[in-house]
Amino acid sequence: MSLGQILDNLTIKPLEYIFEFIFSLVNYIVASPGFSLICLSIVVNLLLLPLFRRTDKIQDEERQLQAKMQDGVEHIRRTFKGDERFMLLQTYYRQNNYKPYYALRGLLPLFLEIPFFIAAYRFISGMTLLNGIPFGPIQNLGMPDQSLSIFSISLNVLPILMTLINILSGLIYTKGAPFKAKAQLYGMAIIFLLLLYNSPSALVIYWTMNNLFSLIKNLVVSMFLNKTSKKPDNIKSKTVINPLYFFVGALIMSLLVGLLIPSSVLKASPEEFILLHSKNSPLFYLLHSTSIAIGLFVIWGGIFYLIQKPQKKTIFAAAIWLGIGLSLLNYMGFARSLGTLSPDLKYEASFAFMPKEIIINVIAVVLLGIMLILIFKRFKTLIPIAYFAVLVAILVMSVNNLTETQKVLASDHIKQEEQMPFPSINLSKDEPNVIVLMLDRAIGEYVPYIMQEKPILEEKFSGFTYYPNTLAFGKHTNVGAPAIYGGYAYTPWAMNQRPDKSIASKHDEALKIMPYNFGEAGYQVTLLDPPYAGYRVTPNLGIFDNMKNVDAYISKGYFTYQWPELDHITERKWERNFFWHGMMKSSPLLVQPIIYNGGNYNAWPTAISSTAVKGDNYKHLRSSVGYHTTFLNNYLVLDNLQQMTTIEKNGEGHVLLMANEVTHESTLLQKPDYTPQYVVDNSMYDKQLPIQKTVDEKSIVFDTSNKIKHYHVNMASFLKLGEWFDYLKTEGVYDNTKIILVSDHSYSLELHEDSIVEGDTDIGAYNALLMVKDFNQQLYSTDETFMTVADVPGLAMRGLIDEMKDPFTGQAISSQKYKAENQIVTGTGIWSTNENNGNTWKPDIWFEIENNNLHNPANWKFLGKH
Amino acid sequence: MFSIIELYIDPGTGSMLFSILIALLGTLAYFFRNLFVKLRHRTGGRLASEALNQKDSENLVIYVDDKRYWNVFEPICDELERLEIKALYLTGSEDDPALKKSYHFIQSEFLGEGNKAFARMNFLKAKIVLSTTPSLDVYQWKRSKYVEHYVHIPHAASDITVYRMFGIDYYDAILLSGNYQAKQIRRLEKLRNLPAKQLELVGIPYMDALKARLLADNNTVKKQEPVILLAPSWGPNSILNRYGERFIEALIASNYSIIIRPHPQSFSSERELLDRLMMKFPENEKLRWNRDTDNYHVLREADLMISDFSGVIFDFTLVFDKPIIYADTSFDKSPYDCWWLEEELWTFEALPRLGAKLEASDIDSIKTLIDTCIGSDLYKKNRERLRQETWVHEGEGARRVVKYLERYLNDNSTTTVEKIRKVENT
Repeated sequence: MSLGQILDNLTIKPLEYIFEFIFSLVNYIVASPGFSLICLSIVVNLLLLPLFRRTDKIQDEERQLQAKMQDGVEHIRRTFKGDERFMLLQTYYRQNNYKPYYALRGLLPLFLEIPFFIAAYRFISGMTLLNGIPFGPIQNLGMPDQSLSIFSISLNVLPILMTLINILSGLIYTKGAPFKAKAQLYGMAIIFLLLLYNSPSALVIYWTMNNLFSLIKNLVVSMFLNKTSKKPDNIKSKTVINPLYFFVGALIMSLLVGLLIPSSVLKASPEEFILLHSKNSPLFYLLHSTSIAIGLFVIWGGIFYLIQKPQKKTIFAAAIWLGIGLSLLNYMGFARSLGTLSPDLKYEASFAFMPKEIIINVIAVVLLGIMLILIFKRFKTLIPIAYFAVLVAILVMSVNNLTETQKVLASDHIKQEEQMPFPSINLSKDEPNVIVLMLDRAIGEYVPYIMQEKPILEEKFSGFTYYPNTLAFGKHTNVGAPAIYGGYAYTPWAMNQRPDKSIASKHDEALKIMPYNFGEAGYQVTLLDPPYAGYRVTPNLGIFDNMKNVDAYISKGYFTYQWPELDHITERKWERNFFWHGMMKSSPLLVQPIIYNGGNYNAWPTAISSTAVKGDNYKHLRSSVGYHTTFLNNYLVLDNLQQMTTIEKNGEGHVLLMANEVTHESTLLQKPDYTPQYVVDNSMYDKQLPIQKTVDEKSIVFDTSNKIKHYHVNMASFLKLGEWFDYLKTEGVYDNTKIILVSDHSYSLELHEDSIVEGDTDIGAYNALLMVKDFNQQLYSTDETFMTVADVPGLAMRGLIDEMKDPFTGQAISSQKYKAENQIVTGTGIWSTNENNGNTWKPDIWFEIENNNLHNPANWKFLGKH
Repeated sequence: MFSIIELYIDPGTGSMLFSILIALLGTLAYFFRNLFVKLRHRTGGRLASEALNQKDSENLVIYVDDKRYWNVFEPICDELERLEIKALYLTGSEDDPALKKSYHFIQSEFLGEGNKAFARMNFLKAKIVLSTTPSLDVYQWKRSKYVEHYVHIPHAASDITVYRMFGIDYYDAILLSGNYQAKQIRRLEKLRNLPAKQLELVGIPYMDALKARLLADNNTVKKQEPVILLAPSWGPNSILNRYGERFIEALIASNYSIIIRPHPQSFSSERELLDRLMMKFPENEKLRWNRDTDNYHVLREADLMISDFSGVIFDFTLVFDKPIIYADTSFDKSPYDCWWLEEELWTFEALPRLGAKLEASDIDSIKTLIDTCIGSDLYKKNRERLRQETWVHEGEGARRVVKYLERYLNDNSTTTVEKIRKVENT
């Protein structure tokens, strides 16, 4: 991060972001980029108005002083020459309290306006990509307007209109000024006419609006303000508030929004913010968010504060005091968990508050607001104490976040990840191979609809048996995955029965059971991305050291280098969105969804299609802009399966235990091949497709973004796996390979209205994916038998290992024993390995599923919370 | 990438920016000019540090830029010596008579040439600096921040506003000889928003001294007919330039004794004119060309002075109590402080009361004009009145100057006030 970037963050970026926010917000409401441009121009000019007025005033003072001195100066110039003239002029200036440098004072406010122009331009120059979007009589905002055609010559009317407004505005501005000033002004108007004549009409609209504003401003000034401006308004009021009230407040606000909130996000999962191909520490993004916040609150807030009259300065100071109080209230007091926050700073679930929550928040905001205003008016002496306390608290918490983050970043397993070995998959051509692929959060229920849309997949998935009635034991990986690897002794309920050991060690035991059994039996075992190995988000492969015939690799993110834009885009996104996330979390609940903007944080797409102009990425469920980073990290692994695979002619059988999160990172993909694209636009395809899909009289209505996005990622994973299976078939290793596809849990998509049981629990979240292809199977089939994900070890080892054994409990592994009993699942939402890390799970709700059928809500028996 | 469009501004803002650009250029020019002037008249650096290394602060310093002002300070120095008040006399002339005087309490020192002198003065340490040199803090001579109190004493008994502009603005106190001078100063102060200076009516020590010399002079001058002193100034409007031969011939025709005393500047600036006139009118019984350094004798000898605008008129008419004839030459106020004030100079109001005005038409009848003036009782009475106007405390000048200085030196309360005023001033 260069000094230039920091300067940019401190000066221009905050303005650019404000413009972007205003534009996106207006556009979100009115869905008209042209109109939004006009609103943006008005807001920018209103912001600039105090600066303009200050400039006018200073220049007016300068002119008056010049006029007062004119006779004397001329006389001295006439009478004396050389050094004497200079020294006498100096003395004369001194006596009139004038310094020739004062002319520069007028430069300062104008100098401050330049960042506004640059920021507006930078933002609007992106508007040239508004190709094809019409506005009123203008056909295309991305092209010159060509509104008037005379004898096949088309004229651009907008630039001409702009120039007329310019000249009119100039006429008023230079009323009574010498011809030279007027000529200069008209000259400039003509120059800009020539320069802008062939510019995209979006740019011209913006500037025409600016000029119109300038015209109105000059009109108002010449009609009203000139008469009153004669009054000296620099009466020194005794009640000038100490500037520290404002500036310390602005600093606190900056640190809250730019440092504390973003650092808390970072601390929650520092590993997720490491980019393979970036040298930057994740902490650099905090430098961005902090400098942008300082630029907004301290620098720009400060500039506008400084040009105010004393009375308004007090209002500024009060506003920042109020802002801090309310932000802390919103951030600390209304910090309900909104679900999992992905590294994209997007929430997994849709972002919404209950009306009750919003009302309570509004009441709290109003009450606290009144209290804060009272304190400001009556007990101002309390404010410095409060500021000191808040500042210290924010700094302590932030430093704590930073050191915690740094600790994680500096730890060994992160470094290990940095030098990842190639994740290779070996399969034997002659001996039996076993593949268990855990697709995180894959939606089992989607399989028939996927197969229906892409019938060719049934061919590719030949030999697989699909088990629709498969139960997962929890809604998250930490509670769902152990049973897949360890069987029935590692369901959440069973793990709780052994309170003498930590969840972390029981989790790792589960991961080792299949490697142990296969390894001891002479198979070569490869683990790819063992979920939460070492009970941490980034797997600690060290737990498999010293195991016989076992190798473990990280594949997630390994191939991300093949998508070169991604790291770059991700970094840009983090540089921007950490700040906006801080802004959002400190806003009232009512405002938060507006800033959150579907996880887009009102970023204006750099390339757009007309539907995405609406602002919300997924509002129309058809188009989106941007990449889902984690999705790509995983997707590229599936995309490279063939490259990773080595077929061995001789030697022993191989076992692959792999996990992949493609299905977890829901995102919109480009149809018809469901590929990731920066700009996704499915409107052409979706127009022809019904929103409802039906297979065997069972229907799903794809009416929420979550349903659609999950469908897309599930489809993508199947398409990629199908390609790999084709390759295995070509290489002749398909038949001698047993393949199990399983998910650790599903997701609460509320696919069916009647699927909700106690505690708003969607039983769909427990309906895991399970597809099994045994050796030499040829047909694709469906089996309604009740299964659980804990059946996986047994299915994997069946027929290959004679005595399947749990080396940690000493017990034999069997499906049959447990299948006779009712299954117990947890409803816990505490997915974090940092939180749910005792010897037993944190108390939460439990269900018992009767009659070996999870689909019937009546079979779900609520066991209470414990 | 920046393009012209990126920095697009509406023409209103553009023209604002443009005017500021011009101001910026003007300011830059001013800045460099200032730097240039400062470099040329450099008093900082080595010179300044030498100056600062001077001995401890003096109580009283008298500063003269040229020896010709010795007449102004001699009576004051004598008085200081008499009262045993220590003072340091700093002069810009190597041959200043003060350097040869053997005072006990007054130490004299030659300041050196050019910038060295200014360096010394600009970093001087003293409680009081008394000077008759104008333009303090306007040209190279700056106020030293180690000096408490700058006191100005004029070297003529007339208008205080005929210094080059801003001449006395940065003094703290002015020692005056007439009330009208105080009014002039107050008007300038008001016009220029300057803090009020201390004004003290003290009289004019050098005229007192001249008068004393006259009174003590017992030599009587023998003469048959009146002696006319023609003491012109110089420049295109001066009598010799305007009337030349014709006027001298008319004077000779009057048959009175004539002394012509050209302005010292004429010998360098108007050499040709003087050579011609002196060739044409060589000295004889009735005509003398005078170039004495000390003008006392010639002033004493003359019965009437013919002059254009010149300070010596007042010395002659007020000290020696004789009438004058003054030429009607136009006076260009432009370079002087009086340009800023609307009212007429006191001098122009005083001259008609002291003698006749010489018009071109009077040249042929100059004898009549001379006779009228010499015999006039009105002029005699007016001289008395004018002495009260512009020569207050006659005979007490030096004593009052020293009394003022002594009062300041002993009064610490004034010091504080002065300090505050000086802070406001800067």
